[in-house]
Amino acid sequence: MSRTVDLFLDSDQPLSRVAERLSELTGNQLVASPDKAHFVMVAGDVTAYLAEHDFLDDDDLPLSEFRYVLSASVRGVGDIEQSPEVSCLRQVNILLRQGAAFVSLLVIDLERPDAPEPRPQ
Amino acid sequence: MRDEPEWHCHHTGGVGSFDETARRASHEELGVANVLVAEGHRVRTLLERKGARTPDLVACGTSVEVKAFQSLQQRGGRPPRPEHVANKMLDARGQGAVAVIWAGTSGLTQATAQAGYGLFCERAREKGLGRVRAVRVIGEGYDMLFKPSADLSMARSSVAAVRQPLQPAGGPRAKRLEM
Repeated sequence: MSRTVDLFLDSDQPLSRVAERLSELTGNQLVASPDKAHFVMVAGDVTAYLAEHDFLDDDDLPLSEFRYVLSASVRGVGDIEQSPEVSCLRQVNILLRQGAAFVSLLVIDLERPDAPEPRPQ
Repeated sequence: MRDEPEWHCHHTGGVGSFDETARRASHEELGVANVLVAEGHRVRTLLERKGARTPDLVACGTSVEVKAFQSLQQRGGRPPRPEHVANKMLDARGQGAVAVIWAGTSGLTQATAQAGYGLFCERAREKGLGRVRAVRVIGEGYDMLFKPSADLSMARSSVAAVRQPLQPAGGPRAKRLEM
């Protein structure tokens, strides 16, 4: 699909261990591809792929500081912010932070960080 | 990974067709489909299979992945940078034999697209091209076609010959398509 949402996360653990930890945190079993190069997470209508990445850094996006990416293609044609894929990976990001599992960065369409949540008053 | 050729077909005139039966195309996919149809291709959308990365379109049997930029207004007046272009191309590697970057009204210039392709080639030289055999960038008033397989093998030959990279900054030159 032409648009993606990507949750970058860093760990010194191997891909299989990161997939295991994500499965525990999200309650969605991540399944290895036949060549074990990536894992697939299916959460309702959303499909996301966990793999190592080689994306380039931008001023606002230090992507190379993160070894892995959980990436979902946005299937709908409407506002990407309202898509189930963004909603799903935002939830995974919250779980990661609550569980202090991995350092993470949610990126919209490989171009900008997800809008920060409003701070509580 | 299956090694797909770029195009199987040769069209000498006439308009192709577009089939959205499997899935409704996004605006950007429709834009790309219209370009391909005008070139004579038979284009159809694909339904995403759960658990497998699928290309957006198939044109005369060749898989096509579309990557798009938001409009300049949506981008807060900041046009795409070379790194953005390269990342879109890198992202398309696993999905289609032809990657089409649809610049739309993002403000992406030919020079930035060329520089982004150069960055993409540098990274692909280390990590591989995946499924991509051709990269096309379509913007306002331009249409650029790159052949990364040829560009990378040429660069490898040059490196082997003189034992140092010959690739100039900005990367290989694009073939300019008439619009």
